[in-house]
Amino acid sequence: MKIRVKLISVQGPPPPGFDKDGNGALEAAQGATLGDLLERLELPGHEPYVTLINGEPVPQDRRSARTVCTDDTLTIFPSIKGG
Amino acid sequence: MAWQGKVLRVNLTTGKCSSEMLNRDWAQAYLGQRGLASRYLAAEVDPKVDPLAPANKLILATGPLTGTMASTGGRYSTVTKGALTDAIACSNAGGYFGAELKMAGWDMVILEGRSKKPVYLLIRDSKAELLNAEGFIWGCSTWETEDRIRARHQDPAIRTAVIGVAGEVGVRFACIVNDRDRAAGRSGVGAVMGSKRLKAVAVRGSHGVNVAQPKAFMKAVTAARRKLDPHPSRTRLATIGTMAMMDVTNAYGALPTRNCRDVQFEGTDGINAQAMRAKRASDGRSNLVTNKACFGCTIGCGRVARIDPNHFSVAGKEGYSGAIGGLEYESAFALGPMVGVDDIEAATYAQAICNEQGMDTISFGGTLAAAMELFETGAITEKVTGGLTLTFGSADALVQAVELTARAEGFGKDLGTGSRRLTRKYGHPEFSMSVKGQEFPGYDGRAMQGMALGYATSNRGACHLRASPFTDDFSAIRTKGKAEIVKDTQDLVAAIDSSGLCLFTHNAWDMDDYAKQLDAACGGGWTAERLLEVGERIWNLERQFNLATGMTAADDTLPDRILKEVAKTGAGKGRVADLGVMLPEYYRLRGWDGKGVPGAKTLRRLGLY
Repeated sequence: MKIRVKLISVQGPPPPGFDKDGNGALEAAQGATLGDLLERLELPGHEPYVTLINGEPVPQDRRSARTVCTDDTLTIFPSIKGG
Repeated sequence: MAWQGKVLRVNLTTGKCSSEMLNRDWAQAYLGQRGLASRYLAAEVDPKVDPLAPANKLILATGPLTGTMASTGGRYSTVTKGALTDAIACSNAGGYFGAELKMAGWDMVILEGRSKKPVYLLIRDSKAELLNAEGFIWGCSTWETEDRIRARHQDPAIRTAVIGVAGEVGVRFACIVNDRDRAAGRSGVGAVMGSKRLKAVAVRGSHGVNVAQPKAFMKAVTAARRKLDPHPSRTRLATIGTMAMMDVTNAYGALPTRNCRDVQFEGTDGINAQAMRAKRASDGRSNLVTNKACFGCTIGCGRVARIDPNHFSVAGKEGYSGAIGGLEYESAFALGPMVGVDDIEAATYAQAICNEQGMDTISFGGTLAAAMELFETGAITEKVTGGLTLTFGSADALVQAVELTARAEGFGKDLGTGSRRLTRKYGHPEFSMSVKGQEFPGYDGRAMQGMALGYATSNRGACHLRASPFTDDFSAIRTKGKAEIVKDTQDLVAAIDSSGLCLFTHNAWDMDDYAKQLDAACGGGWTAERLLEVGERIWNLERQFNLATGMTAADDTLPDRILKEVAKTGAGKGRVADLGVMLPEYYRLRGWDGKGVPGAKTLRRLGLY
């Protein structure tokens, strides 16, 4: 199944197949979790990321249990602070 | 010691400038900058004073690390009773002015009284004098004022902190601008300066800043910098700037849009970081020119921009064709989504006028948004606005309104009173998205519950820089634990704001990193625990000042829109800010009673009783 992914303010070059604005898609097997997708994306380390599925936040401790479904949209951004 | 040990007191009524020894006991208890200046203000100013009366004082204060080699060590604060809020005000600015003041040998300048005629203060090391501003710089923009002062005194290295026309004419959210686009922006500190008929503080310093233990200081500074340099927050601020936040708050549903009627904006692509970088069809150049840094800064979050010369906002106008200060997130949200505008050139122009004439971009945008809601609901008409069609999304209205407000002309005079006074005047106070009279920054409290509590309890009115609940707010929508996060980060921020350093270091540094640098600079005894206690002391001092003005727990609240109208979309869809759940716990953690009054035990522990 295809999961749409939007990366916001993530540093470094976008993953293969993603456009310059951070839009892309991942193929996921049935039963795949959010944690699985994050591992595949290999985002730059050293800072926590916020994850939303269809706009709903999924806290870090629930990512490995949260399965994804066809046509889900995953939004990812670093947990930045304002100023 | 990193304190210079000297305070410059300037009595504008008598014209006398005098030097005083810094109160060292207070420096040990309040550190510097925000804390120390607040201590002086609380000791010298009746909290019930009219902010625009001569009896109010305006204090420009540096921190112990201002002017040192510590990363970002260029900050200063302006402390007074705010013209916009009637609360204690502390506005913090970067640039180069603060370091120059410190290098002239002063920890702070206390400005009191009111001059009969417009003047400016010239400080050259230990010499300070008031000079006539009438017929010279009174009536000039902040930019022209700086140019003229440098030319008259034949010194291009003079640094200035200046009010524009907005401060002269009493715009309630007038700010003080230094280095052309750095501002002590919030709470109306520029209106207080204007009420004293003080146009500018110009300073040139040739001293250095001594630290107590140079070798230990260099070691601590180097270690801190090694931690800061590779941190992703630093590289993001340098490359994308604070504008990285626009798409984040929009995705999360925390982007105040059309006076907080919405929490997501369909037009962010026109006003986000990518829009700043995109090549324009009209001239093949981008809005963004480059980034820049303040004194001693190794982050470089500042933006430099160039307005599209073909844009309607600059047609037929001189002075806007060159490089100017570029948008940062708080300005872009206020001059963009908050007023429904998706035109980055119009927003950049509006920000330029705010810098040029000395107005807070956040409060201007928030006030215009309130006026747009008054207009769209029929509470005001074109008869009231003088022909301005104040519809959400109108870049034309944004451009016209900012010009009128800066000069207090026509409906701009109403806008210059701020959203609280404006909406009360026209019978709809519920349209003011403010706390204690100060307009919201760029975060909606329905999706960000910690920010809601932070706004409600901020001593200077709605503010995103008084607490730092971002990480937890973005991880889940909940109220649990927010009171502790807000209380603890309010104390932490108060300490950093008193050090001379920029809050953006806090992304990479923990309190020990600050403590080690301060300990070496200030002669020992500074620990993370002590700094947090200093922060708590400052918070309670500010609270006591506000309570003495007549404020009560009823002022620790949010607009009904945030408390009663659910968010329509985003992560907080269906939610309101649950302030009633968080506030009692916050008071308890602070050691305050149910009415928000600090208890005797708390005050005794902090040495405030």
